[in-house]
Amino acid sequence: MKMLIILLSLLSIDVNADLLINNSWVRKPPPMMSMTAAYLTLNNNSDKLITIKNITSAEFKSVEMHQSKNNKGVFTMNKLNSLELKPHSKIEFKPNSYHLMLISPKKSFNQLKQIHFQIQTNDNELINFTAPIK
Amino acid sequence: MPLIAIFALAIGYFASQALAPIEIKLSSGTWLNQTKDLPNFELISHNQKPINNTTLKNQWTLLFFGYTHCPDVCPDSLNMLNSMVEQLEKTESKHLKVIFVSVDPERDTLERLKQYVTYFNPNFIGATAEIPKILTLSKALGIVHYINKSESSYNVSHSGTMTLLNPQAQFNAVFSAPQNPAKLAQDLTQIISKHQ
Repeated sequence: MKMLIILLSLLSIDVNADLLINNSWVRKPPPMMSMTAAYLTLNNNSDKLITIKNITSAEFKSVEMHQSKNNKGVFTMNKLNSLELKPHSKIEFKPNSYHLMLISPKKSFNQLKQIHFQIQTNDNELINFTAPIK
Repeated sequence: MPLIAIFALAIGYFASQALAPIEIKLSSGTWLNQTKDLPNFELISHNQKPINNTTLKNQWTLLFFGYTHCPDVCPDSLNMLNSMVEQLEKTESKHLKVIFVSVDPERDTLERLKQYVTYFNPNFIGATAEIPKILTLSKALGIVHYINKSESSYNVSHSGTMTLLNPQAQFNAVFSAPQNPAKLAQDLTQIISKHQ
């Protein structure tokens, strides 16, 4: 297990004992946009429930967890105040589904190559990860 | 059989073939065998040109309704549409116009729409109008949208469906979300090539 964690660290996959974050990326928006979306997969590798309380980014004034839903052909988008990950489960943040809404970049996107995030859980555990802009 | 009767039969056969509806089977959408005439509508393009029942004639038009402050579904759909267009043959792509209709005219100025849609593809067209004018077109196509207000801002729920108008500017096909660029390109190629 220790070897696996070291290997994943070398592959730039963000590792926490309980929470593994991978496949993260940020959508490069059109130049006039003051917001965009980020995607990732959250894996709860533990035996306990993990609740994501908050996500922040050094490069954005605000980050919100959202969920787009296709309800009989109509897409609605809801803000999530928290997100629960059941033991040994994963949640995929992907287009037209869960996503992070990144609001008001502090710098122009052209100056950025990757975005830094920090996840705060209900246990006040802090997990850092980065996501490339695509 | 007198020669004139043979001619009459031949003419009758060719006429029936010409008038017979072209058979279209779509893998990613629904072809409307009975086309639907649209009410008179009037939008304005990001180049400040009118978009109406007359200007949309003589080409196929794929319409998608959304808004530029949409961080997830709209950019994903426009990327998909760009990928679809890239998979069309040149012959088919020159007969197809892709129009993104903003249902958020309060925030989506023509200049903003221009920057937005052309980022995804320089040939895409952004369009909008006052809400009642948008509704004239959207309702006829079965597209819905509604505003969800929060304390400081709002987002817009909207159909993910794409609709196709034929060269008579009639409603002729519908593609429900989620769309696949390869399948959509295949369907549009079939539609456009069979009508050449």
